[in-house]
Amino acid sequence: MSSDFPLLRLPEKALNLVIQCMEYIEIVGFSLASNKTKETVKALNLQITTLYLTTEEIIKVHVEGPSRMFWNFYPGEENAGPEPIPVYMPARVTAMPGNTREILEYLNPGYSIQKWIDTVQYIFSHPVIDFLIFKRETCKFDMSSLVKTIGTATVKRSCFMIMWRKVRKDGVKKLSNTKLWLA
Amino acid sequence: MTSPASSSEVKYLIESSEGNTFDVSGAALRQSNTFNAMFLNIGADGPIPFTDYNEATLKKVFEYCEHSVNEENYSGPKHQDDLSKWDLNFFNEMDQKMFIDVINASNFLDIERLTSYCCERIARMLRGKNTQEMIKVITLPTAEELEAKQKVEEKKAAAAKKVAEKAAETAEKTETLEELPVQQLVQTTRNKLTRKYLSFSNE
Repeated sequence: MSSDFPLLRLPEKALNLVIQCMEYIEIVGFSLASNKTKETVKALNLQITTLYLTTEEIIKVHVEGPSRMFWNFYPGEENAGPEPIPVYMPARVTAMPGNTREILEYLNPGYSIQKWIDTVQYIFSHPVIDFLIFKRETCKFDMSSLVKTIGTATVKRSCFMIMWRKVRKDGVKKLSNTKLWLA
Repeated sequence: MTSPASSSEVKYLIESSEGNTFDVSGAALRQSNTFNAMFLNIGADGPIPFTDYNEATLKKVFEYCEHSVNEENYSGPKHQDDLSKWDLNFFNEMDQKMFIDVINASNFLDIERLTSYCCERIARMLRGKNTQEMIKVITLPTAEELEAKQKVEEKKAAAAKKVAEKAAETAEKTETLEELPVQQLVQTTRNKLTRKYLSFSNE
């Protein structure tokens, strides 16, 4: 069969069946393709249970649900300046389903981390970030840009893996505007 | 041509978009939920018009139905690796155009097993691909194409309505000519005549 397949021209029921046969991690990738694909996935009313956003050297997103998913967002060279740095436009993204070691790789995907998070939250109707995890003693990222990345999502819990007192005070202050509840 | 009490020997005539007709066994047709909803219990007094689909596509679809007549009831998608050699050959020998036509026809006829196998096959085409690779595969439609698709959907809805009307018409005929017992017809006529006679007497 030819590599060009007019998937979105299939009848709605068949298209939905195709999506239901896909892995969750592929469904997220598919929904990033266009507004039409995003809306099609959203209409299926798929659910996730927990969304984690972790900041350490890089930003990571981890989702729990019927299928576990991990995304690692890697910056390009230009982000290696003095800290705190702004949340970067990823130069490379790796996506890994929890059930295999198979890694999907996105090179210069052209989507911001915010768009990634927004899409996941939108298609799975999950408007919260259940856990915001800081793995470093001091957050590497500029808090205003982190807040922008979180967007309008409600942060249910934040976890400071080292000592939360050492997190920059101004950072905590800014994060409190995004409905932050300290763990 | 057909009878309501379908047995596997009963043949139904199917009409394609070219106006050609061909036979399909009742057992094969019963895998179509669309057929079951419209014709199974009432029969059809002429060819069943599936005129949105060409003969080759319909024959391919019913070839699958004939083959899977003796399989156990459908219970969800089967992994492609578990498909039989016959199933794999069936899918592999189709070109893309035929494959899409078969999905569309199978979707309209609501043949769960065939539709789901086709869809699982498409999902496999996207397996292990990232968004950029998926975009290359799925050929995103333009605004004009989306509009054209909507028109086709409307046309199909009209065709489905036509089939439903034909089924209803057949049902009505069956009800008046076959299902009403003769005694009931005689009694109804007798009552009418009695009422007429009484009204004349009162005058």
